[in-house]
Amino acid sequence: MKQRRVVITGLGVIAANGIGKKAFWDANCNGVSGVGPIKAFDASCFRSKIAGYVNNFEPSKYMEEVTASKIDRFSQFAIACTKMALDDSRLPSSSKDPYRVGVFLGSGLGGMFFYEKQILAMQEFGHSKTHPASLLRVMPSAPSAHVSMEFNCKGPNLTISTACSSSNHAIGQALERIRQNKADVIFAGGTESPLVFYTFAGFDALRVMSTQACRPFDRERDGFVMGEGAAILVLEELGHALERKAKIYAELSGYGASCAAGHMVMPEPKGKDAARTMALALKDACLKPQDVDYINAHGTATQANDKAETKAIKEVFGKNAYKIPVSSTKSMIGHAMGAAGAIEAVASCLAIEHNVIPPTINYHTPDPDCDLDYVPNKGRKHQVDVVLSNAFAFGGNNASVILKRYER
Amino acid sequence: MNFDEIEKQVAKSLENVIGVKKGNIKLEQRLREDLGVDSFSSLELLFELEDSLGIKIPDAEAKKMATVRDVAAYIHNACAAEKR
Repeated sequence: MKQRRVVITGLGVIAANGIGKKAFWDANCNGVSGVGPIKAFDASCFRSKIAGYVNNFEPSKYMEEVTASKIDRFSQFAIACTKMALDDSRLPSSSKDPYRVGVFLGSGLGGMFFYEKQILAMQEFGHSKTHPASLLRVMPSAPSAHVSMEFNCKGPNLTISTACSSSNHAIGQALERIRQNKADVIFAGGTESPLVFYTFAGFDALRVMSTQACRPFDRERDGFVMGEGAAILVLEELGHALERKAKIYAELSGYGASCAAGHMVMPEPKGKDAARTMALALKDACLKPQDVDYINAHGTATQANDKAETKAIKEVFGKNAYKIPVSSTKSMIGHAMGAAGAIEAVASCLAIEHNVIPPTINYHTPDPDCDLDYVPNKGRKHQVDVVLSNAFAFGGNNASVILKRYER
Repeated sequence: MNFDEIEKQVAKSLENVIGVKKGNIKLEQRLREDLGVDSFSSLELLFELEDSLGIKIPDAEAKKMATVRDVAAYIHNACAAEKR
């Protein structure tokens, strides 16, 4: 039997450099950074004092005020992005069978805003300050539940929490679920709002955050910049999309997943596991390494990741690795953790649509260990038919996805 | 706090919990049947009231409240008892 194909027919995105696909894409092409000094709390005690915060997000533009008032910021992001993606897909509510519509989201941390608020209130005033919906706001699966309720999605509903690879897995698992004929449409993506004192303190203690800027693959890189945001992609079975003459951004054609089973934080230095993940995704997409036009790298700007990822790309692509543009859009928006893969999948779709590769900004000093074409500082016109997008997480958890220009 | 002020606070808390528009809540309305306050939102309402008024409403008392007036009256009496 022929395998069911899955296409992307709608996009919704919230990132530090833009809300909505147009603002986000304009900023990405022009190398506009959304990173700035932290204003939400006093960060003077930390090594890093910058973050990719989403300014000007107005929940009431996307949902009832009473709904917004009862949920954490990461759930607000998810509902807002789903609304944008649904509007973009023009999927009429009448044409969908709610039992065949799923929601697959990634979130690495859960509702950190409300979590921190509750713990502090309890410490100061005792247990009676615990809101009855406290856990319901904080649990990582809250956003996927809220999306199902807002948009009447009665199909499979999953939340995947594998730190920074969460939403690449959510997208990949959704791909498999549609292939298996368990759903026709899945809102897939991720959401994260980690910018509170507690999370910052945790990453500060790990000494993995930059004191200057996110500069992936640069010799002077000194860590990631924490970001926040969300993205939702409407994944649709090809026949379902063709029947309603939907606009198709790209085909989601491959997914690779693996675990390094080595170290909680450090990537395997030779990049073997990352390479294996990319190769699995290519195989799943029935593509060869030479078919890939652009790699949206995990590119966190930690010394260890960028070096290992570069080695991994060379392992998979051989000499061809030097010819393939590789960029890290995290340089512009910071690292949105569990939402990163989904935001990067949106960037990848738009790269295919516009034949433009977004740059790696803040790139100044070449590193002999990172010697590929990182599309430094300026977006580039380039034919993009196939994109490989990577996400590598704490716990050695790896996921790569492949997006491809749709052809009959 | 007089009864009117308490009534206003109860209405405000109900608005926050169930999203009813301002000014639409009447004393005679029944919490469950008229306003759709289910067992979960009644917990949210209790929390809102305890939090905003700095009082404690025992679960057994809360269970007896059927209308908006019952809620306001309980709080009014409790505040008065505290003064004595």
